[in-house]
Amino acid sequence: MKTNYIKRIRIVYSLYGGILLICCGLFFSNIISSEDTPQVGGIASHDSDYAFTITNLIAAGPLNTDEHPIENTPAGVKAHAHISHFDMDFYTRDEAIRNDARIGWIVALQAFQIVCFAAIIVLVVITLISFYRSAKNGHVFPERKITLLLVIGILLVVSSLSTDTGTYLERTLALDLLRDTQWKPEAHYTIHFTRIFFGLTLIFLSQIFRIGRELQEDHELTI
Amino acid sequence: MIVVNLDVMMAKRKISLTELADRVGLTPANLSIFKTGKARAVRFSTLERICRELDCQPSDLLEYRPDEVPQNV
Repeated sequence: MKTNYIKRIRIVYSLYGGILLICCGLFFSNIISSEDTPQVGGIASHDSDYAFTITNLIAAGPLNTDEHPIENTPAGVKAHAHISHFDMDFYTRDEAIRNDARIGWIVALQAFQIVCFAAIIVLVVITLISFYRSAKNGHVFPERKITLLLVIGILLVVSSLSTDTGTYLERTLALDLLRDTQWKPEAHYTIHFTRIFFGLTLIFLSQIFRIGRELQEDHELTI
Repeated sequence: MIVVNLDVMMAKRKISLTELADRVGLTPANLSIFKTGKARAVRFSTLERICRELDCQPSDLLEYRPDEVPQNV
């Protein structure tokens, strides 16, 4: 019976490890092949007036309602484009704009997100290895691993909120600079629930595992 | 809290932990958990076997002491 579930654990881990390797390969190949796009706070060396780029701005009216007819489509096909998202590069020598406090916060939040992601990846690897070793010894719910799950869940929630906060700051900065133009972006604080949901699920699971550990302990200490 | 006096009965009957565990059908580790009061629960069947081997009553093994904080909860 013990041999059976060790085999099953190995199969599950092999499948998961394979999928992770494929995802990592795709991720890194995407980084290598992508163009060098300057982000907020970056300064391109070819233009001294370049200040920063803000990406993935959500278009507000009339941009997102105007229809832009597309020419030279196949016969019998008509197409119109709507602008829903856009990127924008800003060029200025105005130091007040280049040194806007929001840019500093955006860069800091981006750095924080990178640290969170690195920590999550390391903790996930440690957790997977630890769970495998513990399961082989018959201990499925060790306290330290439950704490690791809880920490990963909290990091996911925190990194998601910092991403959303950084995005909000970018949008308010773009809105201020584009206030009198027809390219006004939306500047609402938007929470992306996918990562938060996943983080909360891990937090919830860690508590369930903690209850499981206590039940296992009760069982082991019943003579 | 519930205090386990198994060591007292074992001394009276002059039986070692290993021998008692063997007779009762428990591992010495499990019986030690019971003896040291770390057990969370005891099955009636186990208590019955211990009492049979030590020729005693459950009250000889288990004692209730009020106003003491249990350590295994």
